[in-house]
Amino acid sequence: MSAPYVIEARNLKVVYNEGTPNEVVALDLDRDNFCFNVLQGQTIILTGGNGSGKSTLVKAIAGMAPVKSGSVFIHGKDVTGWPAYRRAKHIGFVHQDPMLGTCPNLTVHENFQISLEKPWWLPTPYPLTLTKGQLDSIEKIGLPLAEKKTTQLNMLSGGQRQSIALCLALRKGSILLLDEFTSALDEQTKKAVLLYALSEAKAMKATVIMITHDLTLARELGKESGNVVLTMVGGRFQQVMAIKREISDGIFRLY
Amino acid sequence: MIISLLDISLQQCFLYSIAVYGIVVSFRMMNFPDLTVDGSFTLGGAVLSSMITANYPPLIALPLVAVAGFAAGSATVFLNRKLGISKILSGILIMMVLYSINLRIMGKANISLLRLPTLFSSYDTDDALKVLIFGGISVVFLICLAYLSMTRLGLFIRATGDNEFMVQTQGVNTDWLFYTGIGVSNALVALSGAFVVQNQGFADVNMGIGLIITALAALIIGESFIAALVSIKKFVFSKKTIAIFSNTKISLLPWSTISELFSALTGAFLYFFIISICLRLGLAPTDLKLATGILVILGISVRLRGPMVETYVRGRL
Ligand SMILES: Nc1ncnc2c1ncn2[C@@H]1O[C@H](COP(=O)(O)OP(=O)(O)OP(=O)(O)O)[C@@H](O)[C@H]1O
Ligand SMILES: [Mg+2]
Repeated sequence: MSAPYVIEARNLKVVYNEGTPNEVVALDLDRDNFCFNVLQGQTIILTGGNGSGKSTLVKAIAGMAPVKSGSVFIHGKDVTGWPAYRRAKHIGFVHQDPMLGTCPNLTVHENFQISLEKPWWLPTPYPLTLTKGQLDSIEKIGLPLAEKKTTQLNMLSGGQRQSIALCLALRKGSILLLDEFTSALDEQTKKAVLLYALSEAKAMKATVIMITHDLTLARELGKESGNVVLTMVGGRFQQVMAIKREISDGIFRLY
Repeated sequence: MIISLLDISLQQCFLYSIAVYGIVVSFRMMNFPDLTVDGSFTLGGAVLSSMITANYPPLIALPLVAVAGFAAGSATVFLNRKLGISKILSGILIMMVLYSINLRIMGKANISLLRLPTLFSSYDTDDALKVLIFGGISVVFLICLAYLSMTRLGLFIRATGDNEFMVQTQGVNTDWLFYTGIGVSNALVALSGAFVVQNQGFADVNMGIGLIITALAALIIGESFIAALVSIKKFVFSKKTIAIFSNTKISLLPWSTISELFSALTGAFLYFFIISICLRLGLAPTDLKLATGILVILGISVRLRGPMVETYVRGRL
Protein backbone atom coordinates (compact mmCIF):
# COMPACT_ATOMS: atom_id res chain seq x y z
CA MET A 1 0.00 0.00 0.00
CA SER A 2 1.40 3.34 -0.93
CA ALA A 3 1.02 5.75 1.95
CA PRO A 4 0.81 9.36 0.85
CA TYR A 5 -0.13 10.51 4.33
CA VAL A 6 2.42 11.21 7.02
CA ILE A 7 -0.20 11.09 9.75
CA GLU A 8 -3.43 9.14 9.56
CA ALA A 9 -5.60 9.24 12.66
CA ARG A 10 -8.71 7.11 12.12
CA ASN A 11 -11.81 7.48 14.27
CA LEU A 12 -9.84 8.54 17.32
CA LYS A 13 -11.65 8.61 20.63
CA VAL A 14 -9.91 9.67 23.82
CA VAL A 15 -11.50 9.21 27.23
CA TYR A 16 -9.83 10.47 30.41
CA ASN A 17 -10.54 8.77 33.75
CA GLU A 18 -12.68 6.12 32.11
CA GLY A 19 -15.12 4.37 34.41
CA THR A 20 -14.86 6.96 37.17
CA PRO A 21 -17.25 9.80 38.01
CA ASN A 22 -14.65 12.14 36.46
CA GLU A 23 -14.91 10.55 33.02
CA VAL A 24 -14.29 13.07 30.21
CA VAL A 25 -14.61 12.34 26.51
CA ALA A 26 -11.95 14.76 25.34
CA LEU A 27 -11.82 13.73 21.69
CA ASP A 28 -14.55 12.05 19.70
CA LEU A 29 -13.72 11.82 16.00
CA ASP A 30 -15.38 8.39 15.98
CA ARG A 31 -18.80 10.02 16.10
CA ASP A 32 -18.25 11.64 12.70
CA ASN A 33 -16.37 8.61 11.36
CA PHE A 34 -13.55 11.04 10.69
CA CYS A 35 -10.04 10.30 9.42
CA PHE A 36 -7.58 13.03 10.25
CA ASN A 37 -5.02 12.73 7.44
CA VAL A 38 -2.03 15.00 6.92
CA LEU A 39 0.20 15.11 3.85
CA GLN A 40 3.97 15.39 3.81
CA GLY A 41 5.04 19.00 4.29
CA GLN A 42 1.55 20.19 5.06
CA THR A 43 0.81 22.63 7.86
CA ILE A 44 -2.41 22.17 9.83
CA ILE A 45 -3.51 25.04 12.06
CA LEU A 46 -5.82 24.00 14.88
CA THR A 47 -7.96 26.53 16.68
CA GLY A 48 -10.88 26.30 19.06
CA GLY A 49 -11.96 27.22 22.54
CA ASN A 50 -10.41 26.13 25.80
CA GLY A 51 -11.05 22.48 26.48
CA SER A 52 -12.14 21.72 22.92
CA GLY A 53 -9.67 18.86 22.57
CA LYS A 54 -6.83 20.38 20.53
CA SER A 55 -4.07 19.32 22.89
CA THR A 56 -5.73 15.95 23.29
CA LEU A 57 -5.64 15.32 19.54
CA VAL A 58 -1.91 16.01 19.19
CA LYS A 59 -1.19 14.07 22.37
CA ALA A 60 -3.08 11.11 20.96
CA ILE A 61 -0.96 11.28 17.81
CA ALA A 62 2.20 11.40 19.94
CA GLY A 63 1.03 8.52 22.14
CA MET A 64 0.50 10.52 25.31
CA ALA A 65 -3.27 10.27 25.72
CA PRO A 66 -5.50 7.33 26.73
CA VAL A 67 -6.85 6.36 23.31
CA LYS A 68 -10.02 4.30 23.71
CA SER A 69 -10.68 3.42 20.11
CA GLY A 70 -9.38 4.26 16.66
CA SER A 71 -5.87 4.00 15.27
CA VAL A 72 -2.89 6.16 14.43
CA PHE A 73 -0.63 5.58 11.43
CA ILE A 74 2.67 7.40 10.94
CA HIS A 75 4.33 7.12 7.54
CA GLY A 76 1.85 4.33 6.81
CA LYS A 77 2.87 2.30 9.83
CA ASP A 78 0.35 1.41 12.52
CA VAL A 79 1.76 2.95 15.70
CA THR A 80 -1.38 2.70 17.82
CA GLY A 81 0.27 0.30 20.24
CA TRP A 82 3.59 2.14 20.36
CA PRO A 83 4.65 3.93 23.54
CA ALA A 84 5.44 7.64 23.27
CA TYR A 85 9.21 7.22 23.26
CA ARG A 86 9.06 5.00 20.17
CA ARG A 87 6.91 7.46 18.24
CA ALA A 88 9.21 10.27 19.36
CA LYS A 89 11.72 9.15 16.75
CA HIS A 90 9.38 10.67 14.16
CA ILE A 91 7.80 13.40 16.22
CA GLY A 92 9.07 16.63 17.71
CA PHE A 93 6.63 17.97 20.27
CA VAL A 94 6.55 21.37 21.97
CA HIS A 95 4.03 21.28 24.78
CA GLN A 96 1.65 23.92 25.97
CA ASP A 97 3.31 23.64 29.39
CA PRO A 98 6.77 25.25 28.98
CA MET A 99 8.17 23.18 31.85
CA LEU A 100 7.65 19.81 30.16
CA GLY A 101 10.15 20.06 27.33
CA THR A 102 13.36 20.72 29.26
CA CYS A 103 15.31 19.42 32.26
CA PRO A 104 15.09 22.10 34.99
CA ASN A 105 18.16 21.11 37.00
CA LEU A 106 20.46 20.63 34.01
CA THR A 107 22.25 23.47 32.28
CA VAL A 108 21.41 24.90 28.88
CA HIS A 109 24.45 23.13 27.47
CA GLU A 110 23.41 19.76 28.88
CA ASN A 111 19.85 20.15 27.61
CA PHE A 112 21.16 20.73 24.11
CA GLN A 113 23.47 17.73 24.38
CA ILE A 114 20.50 15.49 25.14
CA SER A 115 18.76 16.46 21.93
CA LEU A 116 21.70 15.34 19.76
CA GLU A 117 20.89 12.26 17.76
CA LYS A 118 23.37 9.83 19.21
CA PRO A 119 22.75 6.70 21.31
CA TRP A 120 22.11 7.47 24.97
CA TRP A 121 24.26 4.64 26.28
CA LEU A 122 27.59 5.91 24.91
CA PRO A 123 30.12 5.65 27.77
CA THR A 124 32.19 8.48 26.26
CA PRO A 125 32.22 12.09 27.46
CA TYR A 126 29.73 14.37 25.79
CA PRO A 127 31.32 17.27 23.90
CA LEU A 128 31.83 20.61 25.61
CA THR A 129 30.89 22.54 22.49
CA LEU A 130 27.56 22.90 20.75
CA THR A 131 27.16 22.09 17.07
CA LYS A 132 26.85 24.88 14.58
CA GLY A 133 23.18 24.11 14.05
CA GLN A 134 22.48 24.35 17.75
CA LEU A 135 24.30 27.66 18.14
CA ASP A 136 22.41 28.87 15.09
CA SER A 137 19.05 27.98 16.57
CA ILE A 138 19.90 29.68 19.86
CA GLU A 139 20.68 32.83 17.95
CA LYS A 140 17.59 32.61 15.73
CA ILE A 141 15.15 32.39 18.61
CA GLY A 142 16.62 35.64 19.81
CA LEU A 143 17.75 34.58 23.25
CA PRO A 144 20.95 35.98 24.71
CA LEU A 145 22.04 32.51 25.65
CA ALA A 146 25.49 32.29 24.16
CA GLU A 147 27.03 33.33 27.48
CA LYS A 148 24.48 31.48 29.53
CA LYS A 149 25.37 27.93 28.64
CA THR A 150 26.08 27.05 32.26
CA THR A 151 22.76 28.39 33.52
CA GLN A 152 20.34 25.86 34.90
CA LEU A 153 17.01 25.89 33.11
CA ASN A 154 15.05 26.56 36.30
CA MET A 155 16.81 29.92 36.48
CA LEU A 156 15.36 30.97 33.12
CA SER A 157 11.92 32.40 32.55
CA GLY A 158 9.02 30.29 31.32
CA GLY A 159 9.20 31.87 27.86
CA GLN A 160 12.92 31.26 27.56
CA ARG A 161 12.41 27.66 28.53
CA GLN A 162 9.67 27.27 25.95
CA SER A 163 11.93 28.63 23.20
CA ILE A 164 14.63 26.18 24.21
CA ALA A 165 12.07 23.39 24.19
CA LEU A 166 11.34 24.34 20.58
CA CYS A 167 15.03 24.16 19.64
CA LEU A 168 15.24 20.71 21.23
CA ALA A 169 12.15 19.50 19.40
CA LEU A 170 13.18 20.59 15.90
CA ARG A 171 14.56 17.52 14.19
CA LYS A 172 15.26 16.67 10.59
CA GLY A 173 12.52 15.19 8.46
CA SER A 174 10.10 14.80 11.33
CA ILE A 175 6.59 15.63 12.30
CA LEU A 176 6.31 18.78 14.40
CA LEU A 177 3.53 19.15 16.91
CA LEU A 178 3.44 22.71 18.23
CA ASP A 179 0.94 23.17 21.04
CA GLU A 180 0.63 26.92 21.66
CA PHE A 181 4.38 27.01 21.63
CA THR A 182 4.50 30.80 21.64
CA SER A 183 1.96 31.31 24.41
CA ALA A 184 4.62 32.30 26.94
CA LEU A 185 6.50 34.69 24.65
CA ASP A 186 6.36 38.46 24.29
CA GLU A 187 5.13 39.90 20.98
CA GLN A 188 8.55 40.51 19.47
CA THR A 189 10.08 37.19 20.45
CA LYS A 190 6.90 35.47 19.40
CA LYS A 191 7.28 36.74 15.86
CA ALA A 192 10.93 35.71 15.64
CA VAL A 193 10.32 32.26 17.09
CA LEU A 194 7.30 31.65 14.92
CA LEU A 195 9.14 32.64 11.75
CA TYR A 196 12.09 30.51 12.74
CA ALA A 197 9.97 27.45 13.49
CA LEU A 198 8.00 27.70 10.25
CA SER A 199 11.04 28.34 8.05
CA GLU A 200 12.91 25.51 9.70
CA ALA A 201 9.92 23.22 9.21
CA LYS A 202 9.77 24.20 5.56
CA ALA A 203 13.52 23.70 5.10
CA MET A 204 13.33 20.15 6.37
CA LYS A 205 9.97 19.46 4.73
CA ALA A 206 8.45 18.71 8.10
CA THR A 207 4.77 18.12 8.58
CA VAL A 208 3.39 20.56 11.14
CA ILE A 209 0.34 20.60 13.34
CA MET A 210 0.19 23.96 15.06
CA ILE A 211 -2.28 24.92 17.75
CA THR A 212 -2.96 28.60 18.25
CA HIS A 213 -5.51 30.95 19.79
CA ASP A 214 -4.31 33.76 17.50
CA LEU A 215 -7.05 33.90 14.86
CA THR A 216 -5.34 36.59 12.80
CA LEU A 217 -2.29 34.40 12.57
CA ALA A 218 -4.43 31.38 11.71
CA ARG A 219 -6.18 33.26 8.93
CA GLU A 220 -2.89 34.55 7.56
CA LEU A 221 -1.25 31.12 7.56
CA GLY A 222 -4.40 29.59 6.10
CA LYS A 223 -4.00 31.67 2.96
CA GLU A 224 -0.81 29.86 1.99
CA SER A 225 -1.39 27.00 -0.37
CA GLY A 226 -1.43 23.57 1.26
CA ASN A 227 -2.17 24.94 4.70
CA VAL A 228 -5.45 24.05 6.35
CA VAL A 229 -7.16 25.75 9.27
CA LEU A 230 -9.43 23.53 11.36
CA THR A 231 -11.58 24.53 14.30
CA MET A 232 -12.44 22.18 17.13
CA VAL A 233 -15.53 22.21 19.32
CA GLY A 234 -16.20 19.68 22.07
CA GLY A 235 -13.69 17.15 20.81
CA ARG A 236 -14.89 17.27 17.18
CA PHE A 237 -14.11 19.30 14.09
CA GLN A 238 -16.49 22.16 13.47
CA GLN A 239 -16.12 21.91 9.69
CA VAL A 240 -17.24 18.28 9.65
CA MET A 241 -20.19 19.01 11.90
CA ALA A 242 -21.29 21.84 9.63
CA ILE A 243 -21.17 19.62 6.59
CA LYS A 244 -23.18 16.93 8.39
CA ARG A 245 -25.83 19.40 9.38
CA GLU A 246 -26.12 20.52 5.82
CA ILE A 247 -26.49 16.96 4.62
CA SER A 248 -29.34 16.36 7.03
CA ASP A 249 -30.95 19.56 5.74
CA GLY A 250 -30.79 18.01 2.29
CA ILE A 251 -28.71 20.84 0.85
CA PHE A 252 -25.20 19.38 0.84
CA ARG A 253 -22.66 21.71 -0.69
CA LEU A 254 -18.91 21.60 -0.46
CA TYR A 255 -17.51 25.02 -1.17
CA MET B 1 44.21 8.82 70.95
CA ILE B 2 43.21 11.26 68.26
CA ILE B 3 45.42 9.38 65.81
CA SER B 4 43.76 6.05 66.50
CA LEU B 5 40.36 7.71 66.32
CA LEU B 6 41.32 9.20 62.98
CA ASP B 7 42.61 5.86 61.74
CA ILE B 8 39.42 4.03 62.60
CA SER B 9 37.06 6.67 61.27
CA LEU B 10 39.11 7.05 58.09
CA GLN B 11 39.04 3.31 57.49
CA GLN B 12 35.31 3.17 58.02
CA CYS B 13 34.59 6.32 56.07
CA PHE B 14 36.48 5.16 52.99
CA LEU B 15 34.73 1.77 52.90
CA TYR B 16 31.29 3.21 53.60
CA SER B 17 31.81 6.11 51.20
CA ILE B 18 31.36 3.64 48.32
CA ALA B 19 27.83 3.00 49.59
CA VAL B 20 27.27 6.76 49.89
CA TYR B 21 28.31 7.16 46.22
CA GLY B 22 25.60 4.62 45.48
CA ILE B 23 23.11 6.80 47.35
CA VAL B 24 24.26 9.80 45.29
CA VAL B 25 23.44 7.87 42.12
CA SER B 26 19.97 6.79 43.25
CA PHE B 27 18.77 9.70 45.42
CA ARG B 28 20.50 12.59 43.67
CA MET B 29 21.20 11.67 40.07
CA MET B 30 18.10 9.55 39.48
CA ASN B 31 15.81 11.17 42.05
CA PHE B 32 14.79 7.63 43.06
CA PRO B 33 14.41 7.13 46.85
CA ASP B 34 15.74 3.59 46.75
CA LEU B 35 15.49 1.68 50.04
CA THR B 36 16.80 -1.60 48.59
CA VAL B 37 20.27 -0.69 49.83
CA ASP B 38 19.76 -2.05 53.35
CA GLY B 39 19.37 -5.45 51.71
CA SER B 40 22.00 -5.13 49.02
CA PHE B 41 24.67 -4.03 51.52
CA THR B 42 24.19 -7.30 53.40
CA LEU B 43 23.90 -9.14 50.09
CA GLY B 44 27.40 -7.99 49.19
CA GLY B 45 28.73 -9.20 52.53
CA ALA B 46 26.83 -12.49 52.26
CA VAL B 47 28.03 -13.32 48.74
CA LEU B 48 31.61 -12.44 49.57
CA SER B 49 31.80 -14.28 52.90
CA SER B 50 30.19 -17.45 51.60
CA MET B 51 32.50 -17.48 48.56
CA ILE B 52 35.57 -16.99 50.72
CA THR B 53 34.54 -19.77 53.08
CA ALA B 54 34.15 -21.91 49.96
CA ASN B 55 37.80 -21.10 49.20
CA TYR B 56 37.33 -18.76 46.25
CA PRO B 57 39.86 -15.93 46.07
CA PRO B 58 38.33 -12.55 47.01
CA LEU B 59 39.18 -11.00 43.65
CA ILE B 60 36.88 -13.49 41.94
CA ALA B 61 34.15 -12.87 44.52
CA LEU B 62 34.06 -9.08 44.01
CA PRO B 63 32.67 -9.08 40.43
CA LEU B 64 29.99 -11.50 41.57
CA VAL B 65 29.14 -9.18 44.45
CA ALA B 66 28.68 -6.34 41.98
CA VAL B 67 26.47 -8.47 39.74
CA ALA B 68 24.35 -9.54 42.72
CA GLY B 69 23.91 -5.92 43.80
CA PHE B 70 23.01 -4.88 40.25
CA ALA B 71 20.40 -7.64 40.12
CA ALA B 72 18.88 -6.50 43.43
CA GLY B 73 18.56 -2.93 42.14
CA SER B 74 17.07 -4.15 38.86
CA ALA B 75 14.48 -6.15 40.79
CA THR B 76 13.35 -2.97 42.56
CA VAL B 77 13.14 -1.11 39.24
CA PHE B 78 11.15 -3.99 37.76
CA LEU B 79 8.57 -3.78 40.55
CA ASN B 80 8.34 -0.03 40.10
CA ARG B 81 8.31 0.25 36.30
CA LYS B 82 6.59 -2.93 35.17
CA LEU B 83 4.24 -3.72 38.05
CA GLY B 84 3.47 -0.12 38.99
CA ILE B 85 4.42 -0.41 42.68
CA SER B 86 5.63 2.87 44.15
CA LYS B 87 9.35 3.49 44.35
CA ILE B 88 9.52 3.43 48.15
CA LEU B 89 7.41 0.28 48.49
CA SER B 90 9.36 -1.54 45.74
CA GLY B 91 12.55 -0.86 47.63
CA ILE B 92 11.11 -2.00 50.95
CA LEU B 93 9.76 -5.18 49.36
CA ILE B 94 13.07 -6.16 47.77
CA MET B 95 14.91 -5.23 50.96
CA MET B 96 12.68 -7.66 52.87
CA VAL B 97 12.98 -10.40 50.27
CA LEU B 98 16.75 -9.97 50.36
CA TYR B 99 16.80 -10.66 54.11
CA SER B 100 15.66 -14.24 53.48
CA ILE B 101 17.88 -14.58 50.42
CA ASN B 102 20.89 -13.39 52.39
CA LEU B 103 20.20 -15.98 55.10
CA ARG B 104 20.00 -18.66 52.40
CA ILE B 105 23.30 -17.54 50.87
CA MET B 106 25.06 -17.47 54.24
CA GLY B 107 23.38 -20.57 55.63
CA LYS B 108 23.54 -19.09 59.13
CA ALA B 109 23.15 -15.65 60.67
CA ASN B 110 26.86 -14.95 61.10
CA ILE B 111 29.97 -16.02 59.19
CA SER B 112 33.42 -15.38 60.63
CA LEU B 113 36.28 -14.77 58.20
CA LEU B 114 38.98 -15.08 60.86
CA ARG B 115 42.13 -16.70 59.50
CA LEU B 116 40.62 -16.88 56.01
CA PRO B 117 42.35 -15.06 53.13
CA THR B 118 40.58 -11.74 52.42
CA LEU B 119 41.79 -8.81 50.33
CA PHE B 120 43.08 -7.06 53.42
CA SER B 121 44.24 -9.94 55.62
CA SER B 122 47.94 -9.41 54.95
CA TYR B 123 47.82 -5.81 56.27
CA ASP B 124 45.75 -6.61 59.32
CA THR B 125 48.14 -5.04 61.79
CA ASP B 126 49.14 -1.92 59.88
CA ASP B 127 46.40 0.66 60.39
CA ALA B 128 48.11 3.43 58.42
CA LEU B 129 48.60 1.20 55.40
CA LYS B 130 44.97 0.14 55.58
CA VAL B 131 43.89 3.78 55.55
CA LEU B 132 45.97 4.32 52.40
CA ILE B 133 44.59 1.28 50.61
CA PHE B 134 40.97 1.99 51.52
CA GLY B 135 41.42 5.63 50.54
CA GLY B 136 42.79 4.51 47.19
CA ILE B 137 39.81 2.25 46.58
CA SER B 138 37.36 5.01 47.49
CA VAL B 139 39.07 7.58 45.27
CA VAL B 140 39.09 5.17 42.33
CA PHE B 141 35.33 4.76 42.67
CA LEU B 142 34.90 8.53 42.99
CA ILE B 143 36.88 9.14 39.81
CA CYS B 144 34.93 6.46 37.92
CA LEU B 145 31.61 8.03 38.94
CA ALA B 146 32.78 11.56 38.15
CA TYR B 147 33.78 10.25 34.73
CA LEU B 148 30.40 8.55 34.37
CA SER B 149 28.61 11.83 35.03
CA MET B 150 30.55 13.42 32.16
CA THR B 151 29.57 10.75 29.67
CA ARG B 152 26.49 10.66 27.53
CA LEU B 153 25.18 7.74 29.58
CA GLY B 154 25.66 9.71 32.80
CA LEU B 155 24.01 12.76 31.26
CA PHE B 156 20.94 10.72 30.37
CA ILE B 157 20.84 9.18 33.85
CA ARG B 158 20.81 12.67 35.35
CA ALA B 159 18.28 13.92 32.82
CA THR B 160 15.96 10.99 33.56
CA GLY B 161 16.07 11.84 37.24
CA ASP B 162 15.34 15.45 36.41
CA ASN B 163 12.56 15.24 33.82
CA GLU B 164 11.81 11.74 32.65
CA PHE B 165 9.12 12.96 30.31
CA MET B 166 11.59 15.12 28.39
CA VAL B 167 13.96 12.18 27.89
CA GLN B 168 11.10 10.10 26.55
CA THR B 169 10.14 12.80 24.07
CA GLN B 170 13.71 12.57 22.80
CA GLY B 171 12.94 8.97 21.83
CA VAL B 172 14.60 7.11 24.69
CA ASN B 173 13.07 4.26 26.69
CA THR B 174 13.74 5.51 30.21
CA ASP B 175 13.19 2.03 31.71
CA TRP B 176 16.71 1.11 30.61
CA LEU B 177 18.12 4.18 32.30
CA PHE B 178 16.43 3.26 35.58
CA TYR B 179 17.75 -0.30 35.35
CA THR B 180 21.25 1.02 34.69
CA GLY B 181 21.27 3.76 37.33
CA ILE B 182 19.63 1.90 40.20
CA GLY B 183 21.56 -1.25 39.26
CA VAL B 184 24.88 0.60 39.45
CA SER B 185 23.80 2.23 42.72
CA ASN B 186 23.09 -1.13 44.34
CA ALA B 187 26.23 -2.70 42.90
CA LEU B 188 28.22 0.06 44.63
CA VAL B 189 26.40 -0.56 47.92
CA ALA B 190 26.97 -4.32 47.67
CA LEU B 191 30.68 -3.76 46.98
CA SER B 192 30.82 -1.49 50.01
CA GLY B 193 29.27 -4.27 52.09
CA ALA B 194 31.82 -6.75 50.75
CA PHE B 195 34.73 -4.44 51.68
CA VAL B 196 33.32 -3.76 55.15
CA VAL B 197 32.95 -7.50 55.80
CA GLN B 198 36.56 -8.11 54.86
CA ASN B 199 37.71 -5.31 57.12
CA GLN B 200 35.70 -6.30 60.18
CA GLY B 201 36.34 -10.03 59.71
CA PHE B 202 32.77 -11.26 59.76
CA ALA B 203 29.44 -11.01 57.95
CA ASP B 204 26.19 -10.66 59.83
CA VAL B 205 22.72 -10.94 58.35
CA ASN B 206 21.69 -7.78 60.23
CA MET B 207 24.66 -5.65 59.18
CA GLY B 208 22.72 -3.70 56.55
CA ILE B 209 19.89 -2.57 58.80
CA GLY B 210 19.88 1.21 58.95
CA LEU B 211 22.52 1.60 56.26
CA ILE B 212 20.26 3.95 54.33
CA ILE B 213 20.09 6.29 57.33
CA THR B 214 23.84 6.16 57.88
CA ALA B 215 24.51 6.87 54.22
CA LEU B 216 21.96 9.66 53.99
CA ALA B 217 23.28 11.20 57.20
CA ALA B 218 26.77 11.19 55.74
CA LEU B 219 25.58 12.64 52.43
CA ILE B 220 23.54 15.42 54.02
CA ILE B 221 26.32 16.40 56.42
CA GLY B 222 28.71 16.47 53.48
CA GLU B 223 26.36 18.56 51.36
CA SER B 224 25.93 21.09 54.14
CA PHE B 225 29.68 21.23 54.62
CA ILE B 226 30.42 21.70 50.92
CA ALA B 227 27.64 24.26 50.62
CA ALA B 228 29.28 26.19 53.43
CA LEU B 229 32.63 25.99 51.64
CA VAL B 230 31.09 27.20 48.39
CA SER B 231 29.60 30.23 50.09
CA ILE B 232 32.93 31.01 51.72
CA LYS B 233 34.65 30.59 48.37
CA LYS B 234 32.59 33.49 47.08
CA PHE B 235 34.51 35.75 49.46
CA VAL B 236 37.86 34.19 48.67
CA PHE B 237 37.67 34.40 44.90
CA SER B 238 37.09 37.74 43.27
CA LYS B 239 34.32 38.23 40.74
CA LYS B 240 36.94 38.36 38.02
CA THR B 241 38.28 34.86 38.69
CA ILE B 242 34.78 33.50 38.71
CA ALA B 243 34.06 35.26 35.41
CA ILE B 244 37.17 33.79 33.80
CA PHE B 245 36.25 30.38 35.08
CA SER B 246 32.69 30.58 33.88
CA ASN B 247 33.78 31.32 30.32
CA THR B 248 35.96 28.25 29.93
CA LYS B 249 34.85 24.84 28.83
CA ILE B 250 35.70 23.53 32.28
CA SER B 251 32.62 25.29 33.58
CA LEU B 252 30.50 23.07 31.33
CA LEU B 253 31.45 19.94 33.26
CA PRO B 254 28.69 18.57 35.52
CA TRP B 255 29.89 20.33 38.67
CA SER B 256 26.72 19.77 40.65
CA THR B 257 27.16 16.00 40.42
CA ILE B 258 30.89 16.12 41.04
CA SER B 259 30.32 18.23 44.13
CA GLU B 260 27.73 15.67 45.30
CA LEU B 261 30.39 12.96 45.05
CA PHE B 262 32.85 15.03 47.07
CA SER B 263 30.07 15.72 49.57
CA ALA B 264 29.62 11.97 49.90
CA LEU B 265 33.29 11.45 50.73
CA THR B 266 33.69 14.37 53.13
CA GLY B 267 30.32 13.62 54.69
CA ALA B 268 31.27 10.00 55.31
CA PHE B 269 34.43 11.15 57.04
CA LEU B 270 32.67 13.78 59.17
CA TYR B 271 29.96 11.32 60.13
CA PHE B 272 32.27 8.55 61.29
CA PHE B 273 34.59 11.00 63.01
CA ILE B 274 31.76 12.60 64.97
CA ILE B 275 30.29 9.21 65.84
CA SER B 276 33.60 7.77 67.05
CA ILE B 277 34.26 10.86 69.16
CA CYS B 278 30.79 10.51 70.67
CA LEU B 279 31.44 6.84 71.43
CA ARG B 280 34.80 7.69 73.00
CA LEU B 281 33.13 10.35 75.13
CA GLY B 282 30.86 7.71 76.58
CA LEU B 283 27.83 7.57 74.30
CA ALA B 284 26.13 4.19 74.71
CA PRO B 285 26.24 2.24 71.40
CA THR B 286 22.49 1.74 71.73
CA ASP B 287 22.03 5.52 71.49
CA LEU B 288 23.88 5.63 68.19
CA LYS B 289 20.74 5.79 66.07
CA LEU B 290 19.48 8.70 68.18
CA ALA B 291 22.75 10.53 67.61
CA THR B 292 22.56 9.82 63.87
CA GLY B 293 19.01 11.16 63.73
CA ILE B 294 20.03 14.37 65.49
CA LEU B 295 22.98 14.73 63.12
CA VAL B 296 20.72 14.47 60.07
CA ILE B 297 18.26 17.00 61.46
CA LEU B 298 21.09 19.38 62.31
CA GLY B 299 22.71 18.84 58.92
CA ILE B 300 19.53 19.75 57.05
CA SER B 301 18.43 22.69 59.18
CA VAL B 302 21.82 24.33 59.58
CA ARG B 303 22.63 24.06 55.89
CA LEU B 304 24.25 27.25 54.66
CA ARG B 305 22.76 28.44 51.44
CA GLY B 306 25.51 27.96 48.92
CA PRO B 307 24.13 28.74 45.46
CA MET B 308 25.06 25.62 43.53
CA VAL B 309 24.26 23.01 46.13
CA GLU B 310 21.16 24.85 47.24
CA THR B 311 19.42 24.74 43.87
CA TYR B 312 20.52 21.23 43.14
CA VAL B 313 19.48 19.79 46.45
CA ARG B 314 16.31 21.74 47.07
CA GLY B 315 13.21 19.60 47.30
CA ARG B 316 15.00 16.35 46.73
CA LEU B 317 14.62 14.87 50.18
N1 LIG C 1 -5.05 14.81 32.02
C1 LIG C 1 -6.39 15.00 31.93
N2 LIG C 1 -7.22 14.37 32.79
C2 LIG C 1 -8.55 14.55 32.71
N3 LIG C 1 -9.13 15.33 31.81
C3 LIG C 1 -8.38 15.98 30.93
C4 LIG C 1 -6.95 15.85 30.95
N4 LIG C 1 -6.45 16.61 29.94
C5 LIG C 1 -7.50 17.19 29.37
N5 LIG C 1 -8.67 16.83 29.94
C6 LIG C 1 -10.00 17.25 29.53
O1 LIG C 1 -10.11 17.06 28.15
C7 LIG C 1 -10.77 18.14 27.54
C8 LIG C 1 -9.93 18.67 26.38
O2 LIG C 1 -8.72 19.17 26.88
P1 LIG C 1 -7.55 19.73 25.95
O3 LIG C 1 -6.35 19.90 26.80
O4 LIG C 1 -7.42 18.86 24.76
O5 LIG C 1 -8.14 21.15 25.52
P2 LIG C 1 -7.47 22.26 24.58
O6 LIG C 1 -8.31 22.34 23.38
O7 LIG C 1 -6.06 21.99 24.39
O8 LIG C 1 -7.68 23.55 25.47
P3 LIG C 1 -6.70 24.81 25.69
O9 LIG C 1 -6.99 25.77 24.60
O10 LIG C 1 -7.14 25.35 27.01
O11 LIG C 1 -5.33 24.29 25.70
C9 LIG C 1 -11.02 19.18 28.62
O12 LIG C 1 -12.39 19.15 28.93
C10 LIG C 1 -10.23 18.71 29.80
O13 LIG C 1 -10.96 18.88 30.97
MG1 LIG D 1 -4.31 22.80 24.98
